[in-house]
Parts: sequence; C-alpha cells; structure tokens
Amino acid sequence: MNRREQHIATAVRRLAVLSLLAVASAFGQEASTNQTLTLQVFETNKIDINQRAVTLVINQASLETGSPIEATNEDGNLIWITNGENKKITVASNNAAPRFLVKVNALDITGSSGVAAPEVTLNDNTTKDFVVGVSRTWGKCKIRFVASAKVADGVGTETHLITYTITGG
Amino acid sequence: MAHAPTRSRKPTDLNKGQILPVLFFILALIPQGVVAQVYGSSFHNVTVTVATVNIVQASAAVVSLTIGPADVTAGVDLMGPVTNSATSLLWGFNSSLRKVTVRTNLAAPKFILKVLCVTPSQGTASPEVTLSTTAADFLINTGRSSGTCTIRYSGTALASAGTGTDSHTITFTVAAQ
Repeated sequence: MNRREQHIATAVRRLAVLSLLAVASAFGQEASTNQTLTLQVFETNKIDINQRAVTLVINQASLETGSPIEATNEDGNLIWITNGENKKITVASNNAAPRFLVKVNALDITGSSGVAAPEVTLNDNTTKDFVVGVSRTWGKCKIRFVASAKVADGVGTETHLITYTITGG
Repeated sequence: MAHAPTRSRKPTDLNKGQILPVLFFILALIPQGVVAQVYGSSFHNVTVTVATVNIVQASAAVVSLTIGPADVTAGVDLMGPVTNSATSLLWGFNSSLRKVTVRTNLAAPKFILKVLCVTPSQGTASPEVTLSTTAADFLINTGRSSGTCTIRYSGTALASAGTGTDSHTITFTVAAQ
C-alpha cells in the first residue's frame, strides 16, 4: 500500500468513527417523545326511572265528607345527569282527558341538582315542568303521585303513560 | 605442441558483470503487492465508541378520545370512562436502570385523563397515572433493553365540568431511576 492509499484509508477510518459518534450522539439526545391527545366531551342528557309501573288504588272514603280518600305513591325515583347548561325536567301524560285526578311532584331532590316545580296536575296531555334549574349536574328525586276522585266520577281504571324529559330550560 | 583444453563459450552465457543488472530487472517486474504480502506488515487501530443511547418513540403522534351519550349513565356523576389503546411506546436504552415518565402540558384540564403502560415487554408498569404537568412514572426498572408497551389512555368527565375539548401534549421522557 503506497502512501497515498494509506492516507485514504486513514481518512475513511476517521470518517467512520466520526459518523458513528454523531449517530450515537443523536440517539442519546432523543430522550423524550410527544403525543398529541384530544379528549372531547359532547353535551349529554340522560334521565331514567327505577320503577316502570306504579299503581294507585282509591278504595276508601272519608267518613266525615263521604268523599274518596286520595291515594299516594312515592315508590318511584327519577335519576338524571346533564353536562349542559340551563336544563329542566318536564313531565307529561298521554291521557288527554282523564276522569280521575292525578297530581305529581318531585320530592327530596339530591344536593343542588335542581329545584322542584310546584305540584303538577296531569289533567291533559300537555308537558309541564317537574324540576327546573338543572345545569351541569346529576341528581335524583322521589316521584310523588297523588290520585283522587269525586263520588260523581264513579269507579273504573285509568292508565297514564308518564314521560319525563330533560330538555332546554 | 599440446594445448591445454579450453571450455568453449556459448553465445548466451552471461558473465558476472551482466547477471546483476538482469536480476534487478527481473525484481523490478514483480508487483509491489507481492513483495508486501511476503515481506511487509502493516497495522491500524480501530476505535469503536458507543455513546449513551436513550431513545423513546410513540407509534402514532395523535390520539383522540370522545365522551358522548353512550358513555353516560343517568344518576351517576362520572361520565365514561372511554379508553384508547391504539398506540404503543417503543424504547431502547443501553444504560442500566432507566425509567420512562409521562406528563402533560395542560395545566388545568377540564376533564380527567389517565394513562397506563400495558404489558411492557421489559421493565415494570407503574400504576395508572392521572396526568398532570408533573412528570409521573410510567415504566420503571428498565435497563439495557429495547421494548414496547401499549399506551392505554382513559378519559372521564364530571357532569359539572360541562362540555368542551381538552388538548394535551403528552411527553414521555427517559430518566435515570
């Protein structure tokens, strides 16, 4: 190997070592990595009841007035959640012209998850407020039904399909 | 008269004075490489330097999580969790006892984001971490190894947090343990 070839070989060796060091150094510096994560939450409103069937029976009368004594039921619970703003819960019956009187109201609302509306008379099939002031919250309440009848109403059975809706307030 | 016998001389015979130049001429025709292989020697030093190598990389740069109606139960404050295990973390260390930490750049997230290293091929996964701007252990007890694990993100939200989007830049960092 002549002198010129030796110089070339030496230069190649030096270049190889420098390259190796550069690569190793580059790897050594890359000690972290990033990832972009997006967590998106959509508006969600959910409502449910724990008791699908409620029965009210009027079978007693007042000895003083002679009128039938109203029947009550508080067995049902309503639960809800919303992460939206300014919501309310409404109630509606599908019975457009009931013979007997049915009233409903919310009892024992948990925490500050809403405010009970005044007692609602389900005397038609329109939608009425049940709980108002519901914003970014979850909650629970008892559903209190009161059924009454006049002597003139006679006897019979009525069925209501009651719908609770969480909606914009 | 008798003559002493004399050796007859051929025309191709060389005398001593002629041999030396011929020999030099023949040697000059032999390639230098042959001479070096037989009589020469050479050496050189080869130095290999391996620097500290700490490399960590995520298999994908972007991850998304969405909490919607399907992830919510009425009467339960916490919405979710929704999870994403679509990406992996890959690493290579040639130093002893290293760990990987994780943190987010989002100082005040509206929603809760957790991360867990699932089934690491080397090392030990730390318990699930709620992400904050403070680095928390993600993977520990890794030394002189290359490996991978699944990154499992878990997102939840309280109803009181409302709606919106949190954008995190998640940083995984190699550190001495």
